[in-house]
Amino acid sequence: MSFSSNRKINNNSSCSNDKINSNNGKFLQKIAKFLPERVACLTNSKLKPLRFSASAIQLNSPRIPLKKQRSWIFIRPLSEAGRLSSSKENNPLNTQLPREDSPESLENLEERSESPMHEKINSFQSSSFSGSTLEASEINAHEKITKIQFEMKLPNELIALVFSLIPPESVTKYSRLSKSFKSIVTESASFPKRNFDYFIPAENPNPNQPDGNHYPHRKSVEDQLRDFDDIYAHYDHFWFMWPNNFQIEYAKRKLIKQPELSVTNNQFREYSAWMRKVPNCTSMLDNLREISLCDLNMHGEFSTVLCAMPKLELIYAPFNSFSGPIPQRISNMKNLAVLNMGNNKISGPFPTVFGDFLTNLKSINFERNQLIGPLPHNIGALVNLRALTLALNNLCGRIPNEICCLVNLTTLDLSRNKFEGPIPAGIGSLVHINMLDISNNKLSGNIPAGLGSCSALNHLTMSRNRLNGRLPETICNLINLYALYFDNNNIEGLIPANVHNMYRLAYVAFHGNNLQVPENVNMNIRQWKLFQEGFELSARNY
Amino acid sequence: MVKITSSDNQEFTIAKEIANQSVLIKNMLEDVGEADDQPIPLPNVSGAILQKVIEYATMHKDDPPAAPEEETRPKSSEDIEERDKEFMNVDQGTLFEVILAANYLDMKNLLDLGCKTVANMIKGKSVEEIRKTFNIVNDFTPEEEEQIRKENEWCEDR
Repeated sequence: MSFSSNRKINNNSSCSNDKINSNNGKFLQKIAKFLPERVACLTNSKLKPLRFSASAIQLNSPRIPLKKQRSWIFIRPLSEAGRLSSSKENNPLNTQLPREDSPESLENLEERSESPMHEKINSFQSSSFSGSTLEASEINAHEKITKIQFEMKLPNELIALVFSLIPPESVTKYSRLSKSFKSIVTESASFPKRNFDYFIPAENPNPNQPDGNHYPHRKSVEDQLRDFDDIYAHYDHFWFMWPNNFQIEYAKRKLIKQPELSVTNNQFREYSAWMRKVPNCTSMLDNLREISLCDLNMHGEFSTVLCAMPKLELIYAPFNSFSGPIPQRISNMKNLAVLNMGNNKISGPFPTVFGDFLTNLKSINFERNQLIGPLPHNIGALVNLRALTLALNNLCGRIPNEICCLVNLTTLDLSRNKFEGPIPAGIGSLVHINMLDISNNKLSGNIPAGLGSCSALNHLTMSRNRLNGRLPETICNLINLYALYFDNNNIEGLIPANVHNMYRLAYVAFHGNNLQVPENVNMNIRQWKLFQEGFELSARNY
Repeated sequence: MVKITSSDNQEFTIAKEIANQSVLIKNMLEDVGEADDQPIPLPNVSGAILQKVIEYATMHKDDPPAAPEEETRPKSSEDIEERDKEFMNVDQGTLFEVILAANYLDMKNLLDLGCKTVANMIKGKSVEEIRKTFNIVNDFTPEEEEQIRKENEWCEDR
């Protein structure tokens, strides 16, 4: 398809075979002055006589963007029959045709998008030309065949039809063309529908369709399903950048297909510089079970964003910029099992709503947020909890004793907060725990002897607190311990004699205390060396 | 045979199976009945364009009807027959007129073809190029345009 036209405008007498080369309307003015009565137009290599309206040219010439004879100059040939037609104004047969006088507005398009196109656009001829051209043809009522088309003047329905063939991942950039384009692309509900109809299949392939023997060119149902998954996996990424009407339409289709929404992978990073917001159509997401929105630089209130999806089981949205407090409304999400909102900007207290309503929770992660205040006592009701990660917040007060009820915990990370008071004495009941980090708080008192019962522990960090007293002997029971950090406390006395039990120990940090290694300590050379370093070293691997 | 007249009163006589590709004419013929040999007026289509449309209809008169399930699969505007590409190799004004005529005459395939052709002209072009090609007037203020550009920056190079 070439954009430059092959058409030549020939003058019957002196200007024949003259190509239009001018960059502006001067040429047309010139020929209009020169010999405007009859101009020949070369169409399809047939020379046809053409009546050329001088006044139409003059009216339009200031707007002619002639550049290397561009193709939008369209001069329609006038035949003998044509002249007859224009004189016969009242053709009785005309009345048989349905007509609408006003060009369709976009609202009408939306309302009546179901009806066939041709019913609506019978008046395209009149609406398809610019106002001044129409005036021109009124002035020259008997010569109105000559029309010069200067602009893309298809009616809105047809423009929408054309643009709906542009892939959904790029069509929205054309909303910048002009106001009417913007309203077509980003405001109508029918446009994304039509657009997606073309690119995104709405329904799963019918498994009952005739088998491949009858239609050898067709893919198997399994292949089609896989194709569909690929298509959706591809378009999930765009959801967050589309305008609202696209988001809503996509949500409708998406949720027929699959109840998970996962946008995590790295190819998305290339867009991470752009501001994104969660789709405004969360009410469409009633049936969504899983949502993964990792590292997308998304923002917005946590409450409005996620709580409209009551059936969610998994919220995985770390590394975004969600803000606001943890909403009371989260109590609706009875099925919620995994909540990972780490590395966001969530503020306010750790609410009681978890213990009151969301006892199915298996994992809570609010690492690196802005939570404040103490942990509620009813946290003990979360008996299914396997991981509680609240590091890097501003939580304060005592660590509630009820935390010892969370017997299924395998990970407890309360580090880098402002907790104070003692470590709960019953901590030994956490028999499955393998990672305990309470470092960088203001905890005081003794290390409870019960800690020795946490035999699954392999990572224990209590550095940078105000713990005092002696190191309990029972700590030597932690035979699975791999890393042990006690540094920067006020612990005194001797290291227990049976440290050799912890034969897996590879990382220790004891410095900043008043500890001593007893003379009769029973440890091998490797351990000895390790402990030496643990005393001397500041933060090895830490 | 069916007689049709264009807006400029050119008369065309065409075979019925060609005329029937236009749902508009087909419905009219059904309404009017066989006996009537009055030409059907098409006041929205000029002779030159009508000729083009008839050319297309003649070219496709032997096409089998599309299988209905084919409608559901994702399509591509790239996929145009070679002869149709050739047929659509016209200047932009004619192209638009053909689209309008196809729409008016309710010829789905021709309308599809026209829209695909224009879409292919649009695809891959920057907004500025489209404005230039189709001579679209930018009626946004620079601030407004910048705002929209920012919102759609992610797809600017697609």
